[in-house]
Amino acid sequence: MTLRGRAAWAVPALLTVVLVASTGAGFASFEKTATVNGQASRASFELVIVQISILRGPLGIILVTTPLPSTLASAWINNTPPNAKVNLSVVVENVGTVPAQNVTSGLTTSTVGYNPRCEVGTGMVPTAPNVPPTGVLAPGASLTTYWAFSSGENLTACYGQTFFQFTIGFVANAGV
Amino acid sequence: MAHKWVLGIGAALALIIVAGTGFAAFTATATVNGKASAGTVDLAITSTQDLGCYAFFGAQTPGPGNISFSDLNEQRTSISLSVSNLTPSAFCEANVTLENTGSVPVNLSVALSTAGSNGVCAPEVYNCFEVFTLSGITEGVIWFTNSPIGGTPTTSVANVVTLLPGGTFTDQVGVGIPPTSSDATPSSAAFTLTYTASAGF
Repeated sequence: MTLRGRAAWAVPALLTVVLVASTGAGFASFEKTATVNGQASRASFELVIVQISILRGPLGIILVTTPLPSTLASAWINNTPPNAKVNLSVVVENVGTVPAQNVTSGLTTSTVGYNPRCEVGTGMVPTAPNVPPTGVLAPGASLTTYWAFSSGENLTACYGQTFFQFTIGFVANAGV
Repeated sequence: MAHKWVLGIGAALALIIVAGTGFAAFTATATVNGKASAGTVDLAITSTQDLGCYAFFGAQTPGPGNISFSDLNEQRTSISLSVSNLTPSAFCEANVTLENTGSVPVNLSVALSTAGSNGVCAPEVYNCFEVFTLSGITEGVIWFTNSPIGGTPTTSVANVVTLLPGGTFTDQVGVGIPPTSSDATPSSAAFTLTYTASAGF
């Protein structure tokens, strides 16, 4: 009986130790969060050609082959006689959301204005832009650039090729 | 004779037991009525401040970009931050102030995470959006990379600051795109700043 009594006490003592150990591990920290849901977007930056028109030219007919406005436009000058000069205007617009800086323009290839079958000096010769478009173009603002092309005296040497193609490019940047 | 002596001792013990039982009827008690309650941990966004947009990091002159806050929820635990019209090098800054609205001191930390971008960034890491905090508890920067989910933080050094009940902490957040960004930069990206207040061990 004595041995049984001691054993009966020993068991609850062990259980108590186990309970204390499990209780301590059961607590966890409290936690709350606050969030900032962010959305970032870059600026829209784009120049488009909104108009191409002929200002002056004998019998010259300009044919715009690309729907405008467009970032890439094509135009043809037909029926230009020899030794003639055609003046054009090309209007670009900043349709982006930030100012376009350092706006420049130029002919994109060195052969523009010449029919491949024409000799040098006999085809359509581009001249320098009358108004170099440089500077800042605000969003929504447009810029008119002027161009001139001259046909050679010996235009008939082009073997009947009476059309001339040109390409004008515009470059601008935004940011630092 | 011996039997009588044993009976006498037994009678005496019986008297003592009876008497003892009688004394137990006189009792006095004192009680402590305890009530325990846990401390509360709460965190709230109490104010925001638009610090403007600049041409490049460290510049004092205003630059392109717009920054605004909206949609603070009723619990003041969530708010939306919108940064738009960013050009290369431009960045915008804002302050976010949080308050310990609980009853116990808390440890405050912040984590930056991306939530995707509208488009795929170029392989160059520095071609996309960046988000950073200048609070001191986290000198973290998110560079959106070309990972499918829009990028992972390349730097996130989390420290913890203790905020007493009623105390406030202001975090400075910056959002921008680097000078090396290009036309290939995605049009938009999303990110999340998660501020966590914790108490206990």
